[in-house]
Parts: sequence; C-alpha cells; structure tokens
Amino acid sequence: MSSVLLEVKNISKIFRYGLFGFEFKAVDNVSLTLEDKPFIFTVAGESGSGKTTLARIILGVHTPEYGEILYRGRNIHRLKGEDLIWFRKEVQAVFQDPYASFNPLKKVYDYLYETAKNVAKISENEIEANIEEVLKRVGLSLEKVKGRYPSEFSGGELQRVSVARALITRPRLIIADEPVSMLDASLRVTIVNLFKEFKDDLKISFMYITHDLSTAYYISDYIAIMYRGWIVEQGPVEKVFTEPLHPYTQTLLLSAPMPDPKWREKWLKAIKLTTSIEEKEFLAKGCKYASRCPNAMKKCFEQTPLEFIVNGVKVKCWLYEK
Amino acid sequence: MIKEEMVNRVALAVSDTVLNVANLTGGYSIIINSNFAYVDAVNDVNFYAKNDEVLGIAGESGCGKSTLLKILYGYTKPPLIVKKGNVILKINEQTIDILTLKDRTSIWWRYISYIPQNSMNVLNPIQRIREHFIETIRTHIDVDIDEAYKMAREYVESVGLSKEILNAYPHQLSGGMRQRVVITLALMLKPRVVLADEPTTAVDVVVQRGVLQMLLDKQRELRNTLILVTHDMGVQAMVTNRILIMYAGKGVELGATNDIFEDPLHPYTKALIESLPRIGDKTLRRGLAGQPPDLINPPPGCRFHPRCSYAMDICRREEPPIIKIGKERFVSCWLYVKR
Ligand SMILES: Nc1ncnc2c1ncn2[C@@H]1O[C@H](COP(=O)(O)OP(=O)(O)OP(=O)(O)O)[C@@H](O)[C@H]1O
Ligand SMILES: Nc1ncnc2c1ncn2[C@@H]1O[C@H](COP(=O)(O)OP(=O)(O)OP(=O)(O)O)[C@@H](O)[C@H]1O
Ligand SMILES: [Mg+2]
Ligand SMILES: [Mg+2]
Repeated sequence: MSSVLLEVKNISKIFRYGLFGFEFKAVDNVSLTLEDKPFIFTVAGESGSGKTTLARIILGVHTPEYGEILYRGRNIHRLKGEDLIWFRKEVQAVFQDPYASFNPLKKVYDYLYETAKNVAKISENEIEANIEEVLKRVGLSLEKVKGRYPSEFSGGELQRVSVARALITRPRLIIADEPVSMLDASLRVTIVNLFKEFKDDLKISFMYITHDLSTAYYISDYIAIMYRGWIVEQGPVEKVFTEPLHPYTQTLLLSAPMPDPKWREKWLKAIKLTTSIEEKEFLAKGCKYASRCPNAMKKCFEQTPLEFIVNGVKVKCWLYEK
Repeated sequence: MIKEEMVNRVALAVSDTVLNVANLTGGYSIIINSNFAYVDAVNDVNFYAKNDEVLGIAGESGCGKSTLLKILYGYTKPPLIVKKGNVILKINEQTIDILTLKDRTSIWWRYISYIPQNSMNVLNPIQRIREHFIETIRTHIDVDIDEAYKMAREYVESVGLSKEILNAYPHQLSGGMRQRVVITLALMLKPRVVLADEPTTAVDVVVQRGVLQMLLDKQRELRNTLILVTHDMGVQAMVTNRILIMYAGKGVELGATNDIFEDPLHPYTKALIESLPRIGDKTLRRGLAGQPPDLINPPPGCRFHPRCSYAMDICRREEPPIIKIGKERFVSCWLYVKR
C-alpha cells in the first residue's frame, strides 16, 4: 500500500454572496486523494465552481468551515511554528497572472532571494547558486534576471520565474492555478512540459487547475471536474476523456475548441446557455446541474446525488445508481 | 507617396473588402530611465477584411495584436501613436480613412465597434446594465429614456438573454454573463465591422462556446465582419474563415483557416501549429525555442530570424517582402521568394 501525500476530506467553504448576503457553499463537500508518488492531478470545470477556493484551502490561505486537509497525515490548518515552515516548503504555488504575483516595485531577483532565505532557509552563501540552478531549470539565467523589474519581462518569462521560485524550496507538491491561461500556445506547451519534466526528474506532484482541456489531457494522470462547488466526476484522465460519465463533463468536453478546423461542424452544434441570473442555482435543491441537464429525472430535482463508482471513475449523478 | 503605395495594397484586396489596412505602423512612445524609447508594436502591417466573414488574428503574447486593434478602431491616444499607414473603411459605397477622420466617435458603435481585452471588467460598477444600454442608444439615436429602455428590452431578449439582467449591477453577473452583455452592447447598433479582443479568455469552455456562438449568430444575421483576436488556436480553428498571423509587430501570414492549419507556410506559423496539443494525443510537443524579441530593439531583417531554423543570410539583413501565393494567400518570408 502506497502512502498518501494529500488527503482532502469532505471540505466545505461558505461565502456570503455580494449584496444579497445569502450564504452559499463555494466548495461543497469535496474529497480527493493524492497518493505519495509523482502525479499530475488536474482540476477543471465551470468558471466560479470553486477551483481557486479549493486551491487556497489546500495552501492554508482559507480555512474551511467543514472537513479537514491532511498533508502526510497532518491537519494543515493546525500546523504551528516549525511544522508550518515545513509545510510551506513542501507545498508551493504558481498563480494565473504572473504580473499580479510580483510586486512591480520590487526587483524580481529580490523576490527569489526572499523565498530562498525566509521560506527555504537556505544559508546566505548558497542562495545565489540555488537561484541560478532553478532559473536554469526553467530556461532562464541569473544575468537575465538580476537587476530587473517585473515590467521588464514578458508574461511567459515571468511565469517561468514564478515556476523557478516555487522550485527553490524543493517542494513535493506544486499547486498551479491557471498557470498558462495568459500565455500563447507555444509558451503553454513550454510551461506544461516543465511540469512533466519536474514530475519525472524531481518527483514533484502537481495540482494543475485549468480551463485548457488540451494541455490537461496532455500532461495529467488524473482529472477532477468541478461544477458549482461539487466535484461531479473524478478519475484517470484517459477514462474521463474517452468516456465521460457525468452529463456536465460530457457537455464540457464537447465544448472544448479543437485546434483543427475539421471539428468545426461538430463543435458548432448549438448548446443552450442559461439566460438568467445564475446565482439562484447555487441554492437549488437536489442536483445543482438538474435544471440544465438533458437527462434529469424527477429524483434529480429532489435529492442531492450520491457518488457512484463506475469502472474506476467516481461520478456524482443519479443516472449511475444501481 | 502614400497614395502610390495605397494603389499597390488595394490591388491585393478583393472586391468585397470592407476594411483595408495598408502599411500600418504604430507603437508606444515611452520614457525608460529618463530616455525616450519607442515600442515598435505594429510595423508595416497590411491586410484586408471582407464583408460577411470572421477574420482571426493570432500570434504570441505581446506581438501587437491588441495594439493593432486599438489603431484599427482609431482609439489612439498617448503613449500610443500611429506613424504611418491607412485604415480604409467602406461605409455604404463611400470610403473613409479612420486615421485621418476628425470625429471618430461618429463612426464608433454604428459602423465599427470594439470589444476590448478584459471586457468582463469594462462595465461601470455603479451603473445598472440598463443604464449602459440606454446611454449607448441615446448617444446615437434621438429617442427619450422610456423609448430607449423599451428598445433595450426588446434587443436583449432578441439575443437570448433574459430582461432580468437589465436591472442587475455588473458584479451580480458571472464573468461569462458580463462578457455577453458587453458583446450585446457592441452589436446593438448593427455595426459593419466588429473588433473583438480575446472576448472569451478566463471562462470555462461551455460558457466560451455560448459567447462565441452568440457572436457568430449575430455576424451571420448582420452579414458583417467580425475581426477576432485570440491566441487560442482552438478558437481560431472553430470560428474563423481566415487568419492573420502576427509575429513581433509584423503580419507574417494571411490565409484561409483550413490552409493555415493544414499547410502553414511561415516558419513561425509552422512552429505554432506544431506546438498544439490535442485531446487524444499525448505525443511530445515543443514550444518555440528562444525568446520573444524586444520590440524596442527588434532584430534587423526578418524579425523572426533569431528563432528560425531556416534562417539564411538575407533573412538577417533584409526585411522579407509580402508574397502572394495562390488565391488570397500571403506570406512574408524569404523562403518563398523566387530568385
Ligand atoms: N473571498 C470571497 N468572498 C465571497 N465570495 C467569493 C470569494 N472568493 C470567491 N468567491 C465566490 O466563490 C465562488 C467560487 O470562486 P472560485 O474563484 O473558487 O471559482 P473558480 O472555479 O476558481 O473560477 P474561475 O474558473 O473563474 O477561476 C464564486 O462564485 C466566487 O464569486
Ligand atoms: N501602454 C503601453 N506602453 C508601452 N508599451 C506597451 C503598452 N501597451 C503594450 N505595450 C507593449 O507593446 C507590445 C504589444 O502589446 P500588445 O498588448 O499589443 O500585445 P498582444 O499581442 O495583444 O499580447 P497579449 O496576447 O498578451 O494580449 C508589447 O511589447 C507590450 O509590452
Ligand atoms: Mg479560479
Ligand atoms: Mg492583447
């Protein structure tokens, strides 16, 4: 039995919605497990379904109202002192907007230096060599970075600096929240190839959050699909992409634009989008997808679906009740 | 001088051209370390857009796509300056040059409209959606508020949105819904040319498909021209008829979407198409090697030469001309110059 790296157990996070002030669960009873082996776990799904919130909970930025997160068996929201420093070294983050992750008034090198000194606790005389090494890993150099401000880098370069920064602490897990969505196709591949390389060479696991299903398929081992705070389906990427079970996953995959004009006819077949204010759906009874689901049954409007396991894939949908 | 060049360029264009862009050169005049510098973001760009088509513009991050669109719209204010060129728009058999036009607001919304990048954040947060519509209608059509509101309601329903959204504030709508509102606004006065800059980044693909379908439906209904900037090559493949590929401020290739994907000519386009992963295919892809060029100091000759595996001597010295290859297919690369 292999041990477990990260265990997310029945997590819920409650937010208050804007002016209306009503409460809703941005992350609603979510569970997932990352085994202790180099692994790329993708989280995809609806905009606003709670992916970033989930990432922040795992990083310890948000505290969940319900559930717990165990990293190597220890509840991360209870860590203190030395243990907290250890956790921050082990789990690193890369975010969507590279320009927003860096303070524009601070030189990029200083940012790397601080991570090396304060988080990785590398001794003064080894810092520069360490930074040089991680920069080389992402195809940059010390000369290229030293003395320069974030605005003097392109988006792709800066994103590679973010990845380099995450590597300084020699983490076991990197949470990457839409790390490539601002980048063009060619840079996207460059960055996700780095993830693959780090998984193989440095034995780092990734939680890769993205809307880009092509790169998700390309690099990941496992995928979870979120909808309105729920994980509606999760399983090995090959299975989920070839035989999506949940009706939302099916729509999602059909909607992915393909870089090949031959797919156009198929893609253009109309789908119906909701036309009203969507927030009400967060509060609906039963399955949150029922009002849009072509296969909805009476039960779907009344009872929250349970999770069923079909051929190694977990799916939260009444269609699969035996 | 410019006139003569124009004749040349117009000859490139076909008869149902609605927008003709010739020798367009512009960029940002900025100050770095108390020295003046110029970011050469759009350099001698030439292309045309036809009636009833979707023209895509694609290229690397930072290659000048948004800058080009701003200039086409005539939205040029410092530090953005236009150095030369023409943007000829055909309106009912008349032609005007947007860049020499005194009052550009007279053509905005009605004849040409613009959906800027990050459009989900352009709505005024303290105004209801209703006010955005009423204001737009009333600056162009002489009606009272009630009449404008009535028009807005009918129009919003005609594009498949619920009237409810008119009473919402922007923050009460999801990102995808806000994008649809901005698009709806931009299309309301039935413009002949619609410029859309990355209208669907940062939303999930289901919402993205809905937003794009709405844009396409409207384009078909109005038989107008949609110019769609996006670096998402999947979106380019799904919705455009032709594509202009940009690299470092230059238009490097123009052709039918099928041709661009199936038989890319320019080495940059080739690298771009080869880098695209596809669902169902896990074989290794490679991004383009090397660094994107610095547009303050662009490489001499062909701007792509430092990253081009086919680069020859002449590529390092001289800018390549635009070569016509077959019907409506253009490429700017020395490899295609017969000598
Ligand atoms: N701090 C907060 N306070 C209140 N509501 C919040 C907060 N952060 C996020 N939300 C809401 O929680 C929901 C989930 O947001 P989240 O950012 O996690 O979604 P996401 O899946 O990352 O979306 P996207 O794909 O657009 O990045 C959204 O409705 C969002 O508006
Ligand atoms: N206001 C500005 N001042 C100075 N330089 C600018 C300004 N806006 C853009 N630039 C520079 O001009 C060049 C072209 O930028 P532009 O925004 O047109 O690129 P883009 O192709 O739209 O990129 P993306 O795909 O990232 O949106 C870039 O080098 C950019 O850094
Ligand atoms: Mg997010
Ligand atoms: Mg842009």
